[in-house]
Amino acid sequence: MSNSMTNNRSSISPAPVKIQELAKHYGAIKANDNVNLDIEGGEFMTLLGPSGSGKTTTLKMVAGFVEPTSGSVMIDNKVVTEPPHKRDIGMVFQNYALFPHMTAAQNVAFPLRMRSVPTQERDERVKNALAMVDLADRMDQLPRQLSGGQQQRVALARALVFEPRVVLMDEPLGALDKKLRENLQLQIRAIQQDLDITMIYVTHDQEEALVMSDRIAVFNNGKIVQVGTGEALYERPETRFVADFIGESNIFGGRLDADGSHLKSGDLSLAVPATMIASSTPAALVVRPERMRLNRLGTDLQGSNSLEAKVKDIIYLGSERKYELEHANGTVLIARHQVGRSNITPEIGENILVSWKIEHGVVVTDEG
Amino acid sequence: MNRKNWPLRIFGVFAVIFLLLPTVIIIPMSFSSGRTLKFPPPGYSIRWYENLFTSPLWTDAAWSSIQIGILAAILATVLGTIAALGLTRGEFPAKGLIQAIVLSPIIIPLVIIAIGMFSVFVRWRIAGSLMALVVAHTVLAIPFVVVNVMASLRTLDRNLELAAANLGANPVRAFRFVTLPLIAPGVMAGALFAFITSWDEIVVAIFLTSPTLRTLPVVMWGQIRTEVDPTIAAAATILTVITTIVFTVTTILQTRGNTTT
Ligand SMILES: Nc1ncnc2c1ncn2[C@@H]1O[C@H](COP(=O)(O)OP(=O)(O)OP(=O)(O)O)[C@@H](O)[C@H]1O
Ligand SMILES: [Mg+2]
Repeated sequence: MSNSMTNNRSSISPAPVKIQELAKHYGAIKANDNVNLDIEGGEFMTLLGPSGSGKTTTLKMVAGFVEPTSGSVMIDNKVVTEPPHKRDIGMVFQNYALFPHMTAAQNVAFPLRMRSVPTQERDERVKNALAMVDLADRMDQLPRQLSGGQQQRVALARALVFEPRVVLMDEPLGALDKKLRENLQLQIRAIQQDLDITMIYVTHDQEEALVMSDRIAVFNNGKIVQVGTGEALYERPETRFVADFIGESNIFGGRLDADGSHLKSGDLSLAVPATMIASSTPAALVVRPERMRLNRLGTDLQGSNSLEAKVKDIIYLGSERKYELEHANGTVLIARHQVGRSNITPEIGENILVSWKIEHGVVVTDEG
Repeated sequence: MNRKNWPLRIFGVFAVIFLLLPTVIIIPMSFSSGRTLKFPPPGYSIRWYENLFTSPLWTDAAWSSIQIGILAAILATVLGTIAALGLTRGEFPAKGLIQAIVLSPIIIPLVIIAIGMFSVFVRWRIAGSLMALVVAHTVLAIPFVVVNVMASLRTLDRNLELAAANLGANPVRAFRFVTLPLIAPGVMAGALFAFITSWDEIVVAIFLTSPTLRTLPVVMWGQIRTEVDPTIAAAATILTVITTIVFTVTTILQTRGNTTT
């Protein structure tokens, strides 16, 4: 991959994007409802959320395809109100939206033609952009003569060649197989960092979000429920929804007791770390599977919560083992351990003591 | 050969003969050496074609038909394409009603349209002019353009137009560089349909022509009632051949359009 485009834009600093109280209502449907998001120049921001949570709607309002019901989008500290063709934002669509009657090179040249870039410079930039995505030898092929991954990369080159202030991508890898997807994830991330572009990326694949992003905004029901680095979202989720959506979790729903030291969940009373959440609101305790320890019955465990459980299943995942455990009251728990790293290796059907350190639990709110 | 299907085959053959015979029978008659329309002709010659191509009555009419057909096709294509764009992409009240009105010339009896136009054009003092016929045929042809272009637009991926805008194309350039090339087969098919609509139209033409401006079908109609000489068969043959060529091209365009989009 060449970084021949870097020289052109080294003088331009990437544009920050500020989304303020953005809302889009379709009658009673609130596709977006009070969305606030601050994206730094050069940041890779991923919008992550389940289907119908409003990710595409946000992207379309930034691109100018959809008029917000209220709120605004600021790029480079200026509110944008221009029609889409004057916004100078690159976008990669889910189905690529390559022009079928134009070759790869003509597709990539299109934004430069619209900007009246002189022919010679145009040809040069088209060549560089296609070289950047390893397609220098496919310039004269029509989209239908290219594979899905190649079309994807032409779309990427087309969205980058005019050096837009911001690049938007809406599930650009959704239609590709896993191996190609992983390959392109790294390629897109590398180009984004190389060219220092502000990127807003939509996906509903949490792994993809974790691999590529500087920060992730988690969407649910038209709202952003939490924004943070992948690590922050994984280690310190604020709501049950986020804990559930990102990674695997053991979740105990219930309420905190008056002094906030324990969470009552059914017939269980579990010690929790200090929290700001009030005892009046529904809460949940989240423990990640790799934090769960397995112990022989009767082990004395200080500073930990422990529950008796029966091993229901053991799933071998290569470098890891996943244990499915069931407590007497029916609660199912999951533990994951690196092979050779767990203190005991129980058999299916065995009764054991599953435990976790109090500080490894995270208390979250439980209202969506 | 599947034996079980023979009744169906025979039926099919008869149906085709029934449909084609009136058209096909004209062709040998046009090469007749006799002075009257007769089948079978007494002998063969091309004298009626010579007459057709040299007599000012026929050449003037053919020239008028071609002029009116081309002008009406151009007007109907431009207006019909714009209407199709509005009806597919636009959002405005009473869209269904407006679409029905645009397409109504297909179902309203021609003679009613003819009478209406005649009375208006007489008042405007343009009845009998080339312009009047062009306008009338444009109205009749617009629905065919609208139907063809709308069909193309519906199969066009809306995201392509959004992508064009996103990449910096204003609405006019997005249409010119992206939408139009992709719906071109539909537009061309619409234009050819429009030409044919005008080319063989007679009802409205009878009302709106004058002794100095007559279209080919109108002259044929006049001739068949006065002197039945085989020139009319020659004219009919030419009319049929041109119509067939245009329809073949249209069909090829439409199938090609369906496979590329
Ligand atoms: N033009 C529209 N008219 C009515 N409702 C709409 C329209 N566009 C989107 N919606 C609704 O708004 C909500 C959010 O849609 P959006 O496309 O933003 O979701 P998304 O997060 O991109 O989902 P996905 O992951 O499935 O693409 C959905 O409930 C959708 O049905
Ligand atoms: Mg979407």
